[in-house]
Amino acid sequence: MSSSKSKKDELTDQTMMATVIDLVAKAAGDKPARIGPETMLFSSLETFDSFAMLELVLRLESTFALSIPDEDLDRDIFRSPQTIVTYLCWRLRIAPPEKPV
Amino acid sequence: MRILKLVIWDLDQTILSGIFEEGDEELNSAATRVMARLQARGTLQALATHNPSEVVETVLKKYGWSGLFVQTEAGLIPKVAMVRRILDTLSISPLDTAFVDEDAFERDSIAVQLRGISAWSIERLETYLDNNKDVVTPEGSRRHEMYIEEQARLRDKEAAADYVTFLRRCNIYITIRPYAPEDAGRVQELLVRTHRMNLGVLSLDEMFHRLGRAGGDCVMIAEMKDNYGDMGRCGVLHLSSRPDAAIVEGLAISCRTRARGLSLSMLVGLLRHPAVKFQQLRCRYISNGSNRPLRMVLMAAGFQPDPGTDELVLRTERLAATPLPDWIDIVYF
Repeated sequence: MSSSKSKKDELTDQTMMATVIDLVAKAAGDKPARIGPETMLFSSLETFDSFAMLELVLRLESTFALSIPDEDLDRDIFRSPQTIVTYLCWRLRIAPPEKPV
Repeated sequence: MRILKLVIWDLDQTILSGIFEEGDEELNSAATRVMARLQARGTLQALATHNPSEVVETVLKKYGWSGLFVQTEAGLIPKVAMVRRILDTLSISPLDTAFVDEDAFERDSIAVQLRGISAWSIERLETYLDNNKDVVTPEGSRRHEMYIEEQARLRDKEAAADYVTFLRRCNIYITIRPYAPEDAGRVQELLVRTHRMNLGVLSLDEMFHRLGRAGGDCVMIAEMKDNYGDMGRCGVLHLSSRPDAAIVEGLAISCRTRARGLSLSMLVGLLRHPAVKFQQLRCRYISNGSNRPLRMVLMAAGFQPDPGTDELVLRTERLAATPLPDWIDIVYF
């Protein structure tokens, strides 16, 4: 993320991170308080399996009104809430234009 | 009809030739004959009736059917709501379900409200069975028991204070071994029945054909069991090799492995068997509208899209780095 971000952009990032963490928690059946931006979804969250992943993708698509194409389904993009937020910022055009990862 | 997994029966004037509560009931011999055939094939059966639940209990006891129906829905709610509830609970698509009622009005009503379901008379179902003589595998004939076992798992999961502790107590074992000729029937069954967990690339005929001439290819089988029961052969992987990479020719994983990290463990277990050797593994995947769950499993195992193609690529180091849940033991033979 750029260091010249405005307060408004930072707020958008924080709101998006809170939303993503909430969606991860719902998909994994876990508590949001146990999940941070750098939590590794597949290795740190015991109940986060491929079906939780599918649920998360569906929830992200519905919450952010976008469609995640198959070519973006990559373990590196969905490694942690932080990488997901980076991806969403790229998809929603609120980050630099190159694709993350 | 894709494949018949479930038959939902009406009771009065279908299984019974009269109305039970009016005391003029008699067993419909055509219905009982078909019910026995379905049981022998391992097709699940459920009941949806407007009779009160106490009456249904009496009927089940009277005719010795207590263990026959995997689910019964009774009462004065619309029949379509009962059928939906059964499909939701068993996680079975209307496309794989027959609703059987001797009343044409009820059949038409269900067919209009539930797209894809086959609403049939007993005679029509019997014709279907005559024309579709499935090979009955040990897993197929245990399907009813497996659903009962799954319900026990779900009950205990709900009752457990901590889900992960519950999973660690289940003693889940996945066994991975090479394919043997006696697996052919079950492999066919897996390829036919797994709509959500297959690659969507080859027609069934082509997959069978390639398996038939697998020769020096690597074909592996995964079996699964836990404290609740033996789920039998739940996964198959067929790999061929090209000079530059190994190729996934066929892959099917039973939908019974959904959740608990089972699908991922099964796929990774199949790929980590000592007989499976590759530096780079390539796999075609084509979305068919229902197989996204398998795409998620492939992603979790470390497969990455190969830009500009419909292939996914897996490198050994990514497979090695895939974390698996500690409540599943994988055993290799």
